[in-house]
Amino acid sequence: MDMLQVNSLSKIYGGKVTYRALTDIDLTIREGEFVGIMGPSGSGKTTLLNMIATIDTPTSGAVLLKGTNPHLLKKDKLALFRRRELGFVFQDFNLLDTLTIGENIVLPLTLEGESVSVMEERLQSIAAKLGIQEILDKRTFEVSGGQRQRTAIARAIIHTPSLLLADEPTGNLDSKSSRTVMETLESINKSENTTMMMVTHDALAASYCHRVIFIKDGQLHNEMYRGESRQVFFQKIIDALSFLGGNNYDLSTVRV
Amino acid sequence: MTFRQFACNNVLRNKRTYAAFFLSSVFSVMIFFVYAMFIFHPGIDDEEIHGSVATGMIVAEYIIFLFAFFFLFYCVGAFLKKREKEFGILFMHGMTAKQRNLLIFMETMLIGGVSILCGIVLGLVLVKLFFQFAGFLLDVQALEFYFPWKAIGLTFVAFLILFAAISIFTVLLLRSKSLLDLLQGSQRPKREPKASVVLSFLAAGLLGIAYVLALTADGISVVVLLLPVTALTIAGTYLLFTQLSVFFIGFLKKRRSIYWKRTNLITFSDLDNRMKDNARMFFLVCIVSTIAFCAIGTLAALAGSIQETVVKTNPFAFEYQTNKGNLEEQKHLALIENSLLQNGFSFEKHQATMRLLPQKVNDETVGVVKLTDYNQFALAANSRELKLGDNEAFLVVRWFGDSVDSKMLTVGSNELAVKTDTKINPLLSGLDFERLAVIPDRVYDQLKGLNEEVRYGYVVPKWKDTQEISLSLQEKIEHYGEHYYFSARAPVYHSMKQMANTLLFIGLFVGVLFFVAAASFLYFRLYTDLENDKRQYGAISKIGLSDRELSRVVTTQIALLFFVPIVAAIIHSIVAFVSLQSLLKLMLIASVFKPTAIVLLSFVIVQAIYFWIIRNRYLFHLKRSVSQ
Repeated sequence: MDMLQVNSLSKIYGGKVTYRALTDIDLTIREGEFVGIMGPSGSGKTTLLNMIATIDTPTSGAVLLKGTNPHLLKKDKLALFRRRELGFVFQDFNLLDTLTIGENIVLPLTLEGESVSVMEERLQSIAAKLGIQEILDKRTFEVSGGQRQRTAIARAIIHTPSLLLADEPTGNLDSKSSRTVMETLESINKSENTTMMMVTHDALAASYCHRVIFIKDGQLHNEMYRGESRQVFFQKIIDALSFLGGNNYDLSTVRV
Repeated sequence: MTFRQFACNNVLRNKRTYAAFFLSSVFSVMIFFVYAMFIFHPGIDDEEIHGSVATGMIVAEYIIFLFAFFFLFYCVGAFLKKREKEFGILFMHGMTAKQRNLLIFMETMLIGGVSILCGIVLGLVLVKLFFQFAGFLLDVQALEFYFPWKAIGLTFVAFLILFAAISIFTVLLLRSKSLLDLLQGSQRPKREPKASVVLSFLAAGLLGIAYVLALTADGISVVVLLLPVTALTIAGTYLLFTQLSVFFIGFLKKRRSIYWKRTNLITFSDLDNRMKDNARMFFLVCIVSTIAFCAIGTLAALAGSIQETVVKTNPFAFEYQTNKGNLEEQKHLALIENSLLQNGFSFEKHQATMRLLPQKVNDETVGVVKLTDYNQFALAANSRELKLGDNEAFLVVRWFGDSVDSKMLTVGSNELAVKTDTKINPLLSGLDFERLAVIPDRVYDQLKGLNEEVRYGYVVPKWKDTQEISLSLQEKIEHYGEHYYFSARAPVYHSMKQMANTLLFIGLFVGVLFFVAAASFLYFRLYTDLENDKRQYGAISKIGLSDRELSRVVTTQIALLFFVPIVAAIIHSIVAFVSLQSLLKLMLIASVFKPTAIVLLSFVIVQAIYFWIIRNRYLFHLKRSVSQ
């Protein structure tokens, strides 16, 4: 079954100099699939993701998630749509500093008005899966970057969304945390059958996907499927990137 | 975590951000409550405290309430601006607009509710001190403590409505921004602010015109020009901060010899953005401070010159005027003299006889007094003596600003040329005539068969202590009888003094409230900037910025924030006082210079201390994060 369908999506930024960020993107993601989007800086990856995430609106074309076009929804309906159908992981985590780790995770359920007992139960089971039970009562500034990103992932999946969107989830992490986060995403994809779409610069992160789509200058360039071995896939991605003409710094982001 | 807990957490775990806002809310509530306790005090109806005290307090209540509304409204808006990214994240997770509104409402009401409670409790704790202070200033016994149900109710309801109104208005006025803008929030590089050249020159022009008008106006034209000059100044000030300042910084930036000189680059680079961001705040602080300075300065001048004013308007400790039909004259005079003697006051008695002219001049009945009599009276009252030529008459103005129209005065068979001097206080007035003319003795002596009035004036050296006698005399001798007029100076002095002190007392607390609000606003502003500055100076210090240079740059920036609006306000007030001087002189206030200087100076000192503390705290935080 197709979870996400993107039909001839285009985005033109207005202003004094109009800029065509995306041209006629067509894309389909099946249920349970884990798709990576790669491309050089400025290729339009994040613009594509933002439009699927309903953060930005397309100039033309349609986004269909389970057959619904969220861009046609009224404001309140759209809020409910985001709350129920989408999960989002940001590069800079975007956790709320005023809340504890646990409170951050249950936030979507709080907005939904779920009962406390249900929230508690879901929180415990998800925290166990992600290995963050010990830090649930800590505040965001007391935990490491990897733990923060896992918190963000937990927050993005606690309401079992139809589609999990991730924007450079490993961009701000060291290589060990990156690996943990990607393994977490992979295992959730397997166990919960969550459909995922991830934008990344990081070939290593991309190698966890089932399929990687390459974008260049706002257009689809090519796509690659992962075979049995992740190592081989990783190598193929690096080759594709150099073929794309990306510079060396596009291979992976600066580790902080 | 339920939604309600979520709202609570947002506030309770963000104490530092909300501290200043909370404190100024508490302070407003407290002042409002304390004044309310005063107004509802059962003892306020006693005669000892002048009725105007309570009226003044009620006016003050309105001012506090209005001010609190606008100030807190502005604060809440500023907080929301700071939290844009947070709202972006929440919208991303499916918060509806309704839920956001509810969240804002709940948070505001939480802070509001707690500050109402704290303000009332604090008010109850401090009320005894406040009553003491009020008693001291108003020269009466301190009011008793009582349990102020009414005041609590009023404060509680008024501020609950205030906070609810603020959150509702805030929500209504919230512009919906795109999610992308919200999420990117303050990270996006700011555009260089542009100032319009025309508006910048307009600002300078408006202020220039206003100043010239204010400085050249004198006498009664000050009153006429008051409104237009105020309007010009307000408009000019607004443009000064929003346009002219940005224009000026842009101009400086173009001069590379200045702009690229050492740390100036860092100091100025951000300055136009800061100016533009803070322009409204600067404007508000400037106008509010100007009003506060002018009001407090005038009040202080008023309070300081009460004695002078009263002595001028009431030249004698006791005055009694009578005409021929008065049967009780001797009885009343004896009463006055006996009670003075009995209470051990020494006194001098003076008298002047006036005669009523039979014909009207300019539709006014005129009385005349002999020059010798007048001068003897004037000498006793420390007023100026007059000199008259043989064919001259001096018409006394009846009040300040009164004019004399007639050129000639016919007295008996003499034509007298009219002289006058508006600066001379009316020393005498008539019961049955409207104008008084001082005429040469020779002319006066020729008048025969006219009605006469006699004014007795008592000079009592210790007149300030005659309050009790005066009150009992006023009970026995009615203020205005049909054939006489009696007045005593002490009661006038006491009630004037009480009124001035009341105004001072109210003005002081309202002024302090303004100051606290402005200070807390600065604190909030700096706290918002801190995060940005940490990032910026962290980056710059990696290039190489010594501690001293960092201190200098930051001190300059904070100093501008603190003192730019105050300096503008001080200049405004000085101009205002120079132009008010002539008006105040008419109101018999001799000098505004000294009290105003004291007010301005003490304000600057307090502000400087506050600046010093805040600057040190800010640098401490900044250096700690930079050195990490």
